[in-house]
Amino acid sequence: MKKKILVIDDSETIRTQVGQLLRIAGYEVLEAPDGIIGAFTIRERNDLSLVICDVNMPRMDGLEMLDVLRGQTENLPILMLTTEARLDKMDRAKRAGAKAWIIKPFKPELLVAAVAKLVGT
Amino acid sequence: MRDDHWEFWRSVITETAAQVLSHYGMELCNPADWTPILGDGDHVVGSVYFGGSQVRGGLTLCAPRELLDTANPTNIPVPLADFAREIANQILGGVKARIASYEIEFSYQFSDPASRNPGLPVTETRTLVLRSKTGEIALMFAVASDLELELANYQPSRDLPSLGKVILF
Repeated sequence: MKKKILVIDDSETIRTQVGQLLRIAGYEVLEAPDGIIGAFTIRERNDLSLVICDVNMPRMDGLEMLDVLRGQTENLPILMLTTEARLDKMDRAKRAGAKAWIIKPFKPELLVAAVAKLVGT
Repeated sequence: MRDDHWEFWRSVITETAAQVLSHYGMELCNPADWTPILGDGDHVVGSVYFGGSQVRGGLTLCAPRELLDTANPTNIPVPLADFAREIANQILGGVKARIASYEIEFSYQFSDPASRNPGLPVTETRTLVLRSKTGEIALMFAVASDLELELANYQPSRDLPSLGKVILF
């Protein structure tokens, strides 16, 4: 069975790009356009292997989403994919449970390699 | 270019353009809004906004549809306005990282900050047209700021995190 990855980003271009890369790499991909729908999806499903999440999004940003989900995602690795490069935001994400951070624009092969490492494939 | 120098040149260019274009029957609606024009063809725009205690404004990217279509990172059609906005978003992210060392901070906004705070007009706008082998891209940077930033003080940061590098916690 394919491992399922949730991609949360307000940019349809990024969701499409990341989704295409991951599908080619053999994963099943779900998408959400903001932190609210992302958090809802994470709570509703117990079969996700990884979440890839933007930081700056309307309605609820990625860091707020991590705070909302604090304590509920211990076994779910979260990779932040964002234009943000501030160390204090990285620290906040790390404290809230994120496992990795990539600054956009990203290199496809590095993203896929990081995903493989985080999901253990 | 210093603002007062730019104001001088903009006035001269605008006045001249309005006069010449009027001669050929092309009246400018508002000469003050004159901006450089990209080449012919269908163009796409995407805007992002930012706000902070010291600066606020927006960055708009405008590029030919064909150029963006070619640059689409997927082989699936994507809404090109979204792609343009995402490129502007990534440029703004780089700007944010670079000015952080000057203790200038702002956050992303999802609507024009000027519309929510009309008492603080965004008065400074610069348009930068970048040329590539396959087309031109215009960046319109509108900013309100009382900061006095001198180019002579700018030092490209050597401590910026690498784009695309995976940082494992």
